[in-house]
Amino acid sequence: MYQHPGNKPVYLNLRAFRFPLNAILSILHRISGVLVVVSLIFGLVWLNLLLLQPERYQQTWAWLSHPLGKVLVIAGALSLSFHWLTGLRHLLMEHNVAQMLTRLDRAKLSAQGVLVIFAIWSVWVIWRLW
Amino acid sequence: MSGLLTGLKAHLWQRISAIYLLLYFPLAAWYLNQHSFATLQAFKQAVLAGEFWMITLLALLLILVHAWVGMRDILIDYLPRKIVLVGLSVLGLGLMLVLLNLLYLTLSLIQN
Repeated sequence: MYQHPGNKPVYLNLRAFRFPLNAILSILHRISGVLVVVSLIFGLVWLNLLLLQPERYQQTWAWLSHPLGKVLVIAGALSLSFHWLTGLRHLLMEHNVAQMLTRLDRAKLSAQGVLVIFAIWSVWVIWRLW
Repeated sequence: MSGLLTGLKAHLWQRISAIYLLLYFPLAAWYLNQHSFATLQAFKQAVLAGEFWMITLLALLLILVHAWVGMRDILIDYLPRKIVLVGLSVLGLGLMLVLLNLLYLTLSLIQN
């Protein structure tokens, strides 16, 4: 693992950089991945409550109709969708499908495509699940 | 440390699980959308029918593998060096607990 030589503190002001769309999608892929893990834990807790207390089955389902429940379900669904889409793009890119890796314009176009698809999909998911 | 998923093996498993999950989620969404979950009985019928529960269990196991590799990368990249091992241990332990819970739920679903 890389170790910084010496003890000089390093301060990187992230706001002073201009990141290409590619880099932004990459970090958002990570962030959405963490959110998926968090959703998974929430979902697992809910599934335990649902399956291990059969007499309260309907009530446990009803939690998802509560506004807070809806927000959590939609947040989980959107994180997963985003991670899925950017992940698909990463997989295709790794194999240079459609020259996405070697041509800058194609890389940019695919990133914009992912964002457009995600925007449309988000509207539909929110409309369906709310 | 060689028993843990690291290096090239981690990279490969990240891709294998990614491809499986890429296919699993649309299929599962399509399948579950056709079923009712109004009662626990209906829930069990939908989930246990055919091979769906096995496909789902495999997907959940691969999610854990995928989460281990991805979260491990994130922790190694951003945690201060001194506490990387602590972070990785907590992550590993957490994922183990999730795995045990998943297996427990699966068993309780299958048995009755």
